[in-house]
Amino acid sequence: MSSIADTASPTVPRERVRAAKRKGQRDTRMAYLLLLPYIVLLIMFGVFPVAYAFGLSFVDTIENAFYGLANYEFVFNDFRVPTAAINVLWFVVIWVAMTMIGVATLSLMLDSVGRRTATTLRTIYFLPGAVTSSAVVVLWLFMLDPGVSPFQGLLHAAGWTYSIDVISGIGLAGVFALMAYFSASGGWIVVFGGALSSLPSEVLEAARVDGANRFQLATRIKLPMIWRSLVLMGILSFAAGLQLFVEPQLMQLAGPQSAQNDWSLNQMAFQYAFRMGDFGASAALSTMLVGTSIIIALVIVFATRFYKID
Amino acid sequence: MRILGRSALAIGLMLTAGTAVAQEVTLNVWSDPVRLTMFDLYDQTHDNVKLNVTTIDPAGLVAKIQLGMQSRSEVPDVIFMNDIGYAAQLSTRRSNYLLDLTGLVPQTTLDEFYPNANSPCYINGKLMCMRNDIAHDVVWYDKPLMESLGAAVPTTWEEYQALGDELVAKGYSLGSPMVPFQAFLVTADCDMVMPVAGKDDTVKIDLTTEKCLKPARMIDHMIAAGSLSKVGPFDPAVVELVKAGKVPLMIGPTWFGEYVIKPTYEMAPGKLAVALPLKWADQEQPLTWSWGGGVYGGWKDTAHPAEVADLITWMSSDVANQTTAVTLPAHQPSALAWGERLKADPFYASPDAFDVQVKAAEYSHPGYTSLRFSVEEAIVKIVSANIAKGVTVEASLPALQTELVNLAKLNGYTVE
Amino acid sequence: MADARTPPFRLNLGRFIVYAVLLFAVCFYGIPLLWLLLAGTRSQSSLFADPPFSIGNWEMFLVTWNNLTTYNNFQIVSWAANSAIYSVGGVLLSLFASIPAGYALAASEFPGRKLILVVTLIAMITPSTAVVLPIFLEMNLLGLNNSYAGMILVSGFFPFGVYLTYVYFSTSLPKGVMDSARVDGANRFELFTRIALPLARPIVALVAFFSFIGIWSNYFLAFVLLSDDKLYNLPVGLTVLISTSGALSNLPANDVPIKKPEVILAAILVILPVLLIFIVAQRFVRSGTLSGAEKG
Repeated sequence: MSSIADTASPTVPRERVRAAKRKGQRDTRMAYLLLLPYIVLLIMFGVFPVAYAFGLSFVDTIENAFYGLANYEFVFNDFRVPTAAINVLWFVVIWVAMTMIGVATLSLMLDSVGRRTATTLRTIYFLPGAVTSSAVVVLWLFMLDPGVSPFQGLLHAAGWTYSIDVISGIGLAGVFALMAYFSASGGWIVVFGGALSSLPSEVLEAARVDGANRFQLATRIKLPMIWRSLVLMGILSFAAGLQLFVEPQLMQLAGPQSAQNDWSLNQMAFQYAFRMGDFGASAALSTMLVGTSIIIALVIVFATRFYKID
Repeated sequence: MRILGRSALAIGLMLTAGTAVAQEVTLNVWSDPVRLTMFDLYDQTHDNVKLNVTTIDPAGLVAKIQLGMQSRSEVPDVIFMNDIGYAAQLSTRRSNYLLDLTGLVPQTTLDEFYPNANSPCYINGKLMCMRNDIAHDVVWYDKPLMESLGAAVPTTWEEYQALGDELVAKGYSLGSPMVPFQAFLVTADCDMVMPVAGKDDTVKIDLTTEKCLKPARMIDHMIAAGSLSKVGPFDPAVVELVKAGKVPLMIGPTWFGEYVIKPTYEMAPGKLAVALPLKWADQEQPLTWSWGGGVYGGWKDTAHPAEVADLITWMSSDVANQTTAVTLPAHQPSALAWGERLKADPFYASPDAFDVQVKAAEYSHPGYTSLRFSVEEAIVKIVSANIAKGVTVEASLPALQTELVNLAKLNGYTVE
Repeated sequence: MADARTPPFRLNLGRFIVYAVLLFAVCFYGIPLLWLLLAGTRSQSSLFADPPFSIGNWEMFLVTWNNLTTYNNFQIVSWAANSAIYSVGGVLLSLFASIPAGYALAASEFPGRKLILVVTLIAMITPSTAVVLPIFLEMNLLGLNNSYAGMILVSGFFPFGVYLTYVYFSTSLPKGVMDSARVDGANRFELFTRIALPLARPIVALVAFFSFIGIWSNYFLAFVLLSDDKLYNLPVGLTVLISTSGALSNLPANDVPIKKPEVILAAILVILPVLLIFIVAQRFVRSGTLSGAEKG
């Protein structure tokens, strides 16, 4: 990394220092030129909305007056919050574990088979992610019902006759984790496919020549080389898990007997805003969710020196 | 000569066009696809009003209005709410959207509605919406099948439970109790979030009385015996059961016949009959809950309140319009005209299917009002989940009570 | 000295495990998809009554197709066209913004770099429920709500794409190549256009692809920003249709001919472009190797 020396010392000629400084300035200017379109969008759709939402959490949305922590108080006094928090916690544990293990394993395995096979398989793994929400509901309505599901053999074997038995047996957290994994893992497998395929082949060749077998190649060589993608996936999955919204919300499309409208914390934030019109309370809950995600994310990022340039 | 004539014509046209445009009022309407034709009909028959109709996902209606109110733009003048609960959600202090229609609708028109049809629209004594269609529960049965089984159509809940026991022994059952679940539980006048007359935003919640325990025990008995299913009426298990002819009688709302029994349950024509809702032996008359029924509402800050009120009144009570409606209109004269269709329909075992539905409207539960939260959701969350685990409905009532009380308080109600 | 070839038994076990796991995954992901495909040909009652993998018939499929496409004057076609417009515009804008940004963040150190990375991360993990209102108000203020331009602008913000690009260039930008090019006298911009961009084909394809998926299947943002049903994209339009027709919940009683088979067919239609684009993008994602670019 280039460092800019502020003062010239007797052993470093002045011109060299000035040249280094100019190089640094040109680096900066170039960087910001390239970043310009993105920074505009970032301010419009990243910084401003987040700041606005944060500010809104301290405002009473009826009188539009400063409200202090009253919105936060309201959220804490909502009797559904502890249950929703536990629900989400369970979901996150199951979902992040499934994602990290499932995606890493499948990606590494795909990378070790022939290209044609890998591409075909990757397509199959990915397609579920393209199924839109209403179709996901139909899909799971049928998959989870022992009467009509292709998996009915398995479901009957577990002793379940009705869909409510299945849901009761697996638990809502597990069902939602399954649904979310089904949709989202394919995308990550594709990302990792790209990451793995761009690994310098000399290193892999060298390892193979040294006698590493498939398993060692995967775990000792490839896995450490894609650590950045793994960290990114971990952080994003954790944050997405905390903010679980789509899967439980979709259930209501299947009718009132399936609706779970305040199962997760993010759903409650949605209800505050869009059912009760209380955007302030909604912002308060969202801020707390984001706050938790940010703290964890920053801890991971700085602990793993994610930002470092190799 | 000709030029003069033409310019005179042109000026004449401009003048009339000018005056027509000056009088014409444009209203923004958010409708669901089903009511589109009705709004179009109004547009065509009323020259002074132009309707700008957008199709909106009814489930997202409240969300979009909340957004619109925040930005004070994109707010419609008239909406159709397919869930009566929306009326309460859109008339709170925070989400003060709905127009107070008290005094804007002629009392004579209001009197033409079925009793209690507009009760969901009275919020704290004010008329905030108008009912489009009613959907109270009645008894549906397969006439030939009941006769061949030698079973009498019950008139009381006690007879219903006995019928269930009798049928189970022969391998039949009575369908699903989730039509909706609350319907079964409030038949004995249970205080399940019932509004308290005279007090604003106050509800009574007491699930500990015999009025609530009696129906709960009946359901528990019937589920244990197998005469009622543990799942809803659209669950594949129940659908297959009915299609196989194993369900000779079931409780369901007025739209069940046309929209569930005919298409989904695929019952053959000439078999379906309707009977009056059931009552408990110690009740004078039945008390029947409803499943559905939409309402129309207007914006309180609209620039044209008179036109808005007129549109809403017309949509819900114009006889020619409602004759083409898909479900039983809430407005009596319209319903009678609508019912002519059913009378001629050979699908029903007897021509009085419609008359029975109309008579049953008299027994509508007055407590079927608009609430800011959904009781049925709470029932699903607690009771249905427990049924799956084998816990009885009666045992779930205390937990349900706690949940309902909490929800009521959260939404700003005073609980008695 | 180690034997270069592993003994046959061990080799078979390793391969067997790999193939077994991959096959299990195919069942997990593929069986529901297969069911969906076949279900598009069946009638509503057949879905309940017949075995899971039974195939319907051609007439049934045609009826379903008809119901879906002709509904309300081929409304589904206009939704699809809108989706296409938002997707193409959004993808182009997001590529234009994200690729250079990711490169800049990966290529050199400069003040504010970490801040941008952190802010981007925060933007990515903020729930949409929270930002939807401010974005709605902002678009309203600019007069861009309910417009193609507004949707495309919002879709162009793709922080995930920036991170993907950043990670890609961090791993694959060979320091040696960069330095040798600099020695050869290239300025920074030339570094970007002559070295990084040609290397970037896989990441451009990847980012374009994910951006496309995100925009094509975006429901919430479109739901919030669009109130004119002529501008609805496919997810919003289909949800309105399905929700109102009660195809899934069976509730709203009406004569709208959209029931479960139509919902399934609609789902299949929405997946098809994704499948196509995926196959196309796959060829680009298969990256070239970096060997040979670096000398000595």
